[in-house]
Amino acid sequence: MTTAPAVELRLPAVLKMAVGTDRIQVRGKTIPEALRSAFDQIPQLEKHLLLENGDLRPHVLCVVNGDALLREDVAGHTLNDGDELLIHQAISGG
Amino acid sequence: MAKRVILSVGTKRGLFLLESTKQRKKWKVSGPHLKGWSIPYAIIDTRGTPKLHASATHYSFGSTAYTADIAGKKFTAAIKPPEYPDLNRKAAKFVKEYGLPNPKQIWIITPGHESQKKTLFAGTSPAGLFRTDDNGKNWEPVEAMNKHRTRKDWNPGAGGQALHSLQVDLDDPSRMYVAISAAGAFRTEDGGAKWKPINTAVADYVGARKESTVGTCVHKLLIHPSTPGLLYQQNHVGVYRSEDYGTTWIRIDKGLPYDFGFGLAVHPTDPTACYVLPLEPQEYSFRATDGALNVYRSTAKGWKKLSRGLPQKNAHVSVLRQAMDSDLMDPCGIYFGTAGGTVFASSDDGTTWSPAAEYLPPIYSVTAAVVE
Repeated sequence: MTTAPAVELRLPAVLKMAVGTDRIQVRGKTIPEALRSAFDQIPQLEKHLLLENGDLRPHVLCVVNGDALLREDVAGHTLNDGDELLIHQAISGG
Repeated sequence: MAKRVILSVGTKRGLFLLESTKQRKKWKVSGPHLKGWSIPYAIIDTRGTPKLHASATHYSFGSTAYTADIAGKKFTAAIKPPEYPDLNRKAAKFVKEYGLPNPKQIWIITPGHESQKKTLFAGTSPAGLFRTDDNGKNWEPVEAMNKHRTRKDWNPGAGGQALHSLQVDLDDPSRMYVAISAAGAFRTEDGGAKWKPINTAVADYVGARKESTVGTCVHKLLIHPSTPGLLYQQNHVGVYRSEDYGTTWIRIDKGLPYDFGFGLAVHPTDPTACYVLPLEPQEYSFRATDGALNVYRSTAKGWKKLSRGLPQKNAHVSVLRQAMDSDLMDPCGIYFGTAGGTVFASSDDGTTWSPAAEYLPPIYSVTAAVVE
């Protein structure tokens, strides 16, 4: 049995206020798996990142190792050991 | 320790705390606290060691409820915040047809009865009632309210379908009142197991209702803090007073320039005195003052205009429903915050006014607390 990659999840300052930390060590081969690993540790994080139907909130941006992912690429993106997954507020409007 | 007054001011961009001595002449402003969050409502619970409670929403990351010390130094989010009931079918249809946003937020947090010091209640949009018995760490739905038999007939107002007013009887912890836009007012006599609509004689566009059905658009409902059974409400259509725990309502807005408004406050000892801030009415959907910013106080002889210190020219000001409050001092302090970011304060029962803070972000709520 292979262990899922270890990933560091980083959160923006406004979410640090809500969940008490901005760095969570998670495991997951994909971003949904990594987020689920984070929700297992901090249940109250889930409602800040996901809608009631399980979709990522519309203005949540996922950045892996400094590269922002297009929304349609988030679910299929493969994570590797040592990756950094940064959650950011998507720039939208002006 | 000497008494001091703290105003919790929720704004579009964070929470501000305004503190003054009991004279309430000069105000020290701190904030923004909870930077990055919008604060629809904040209140200091003065039972026991005073605690600050704030609702918070974020454009990207949803909403939660925070607690803190009253200096605002350390905020802790709820472990299990109020979760919203699903939009009812009618509300969803309205949103779809008219393109209104679905502002999922906590509209009000109210401390429970003095005898239940860890209990608080919260009202949300879509309209929901929640309860915590551990000082805001974990919130549970009050199902008898949220699944009320009349729910299919609750309409969302322009600000969403919101449970925005929440009052716990001072004498009897099992008696509570809530008000929902646009469903009307409800009362429980058994701690929340059963809720009865209390809208008899409250008007809607087609006139006053003979029976206590739902559908009226209450904007704010308050109990009087020292007179059992006395309630006031500012409605979309009129201002009302009830002397029988909300069972029947008496319309009292004759003499006001407009019957429309959002803000409402009560005098802590004078049962004849409520304070309103009339706004230009529905006809133009203007919802701001007509050039002069005036507060009105009800008296046994009618309404008294309170304008000293308030702008009287070119003042087109909006004041939201949670942005007006009174303190429990003698003389009474009355406070309101504007959408333009000014907090006006009076420390003499509303006779004279001056700005307590200016140039804040748009103000959503103002609540006053007296602490030692």
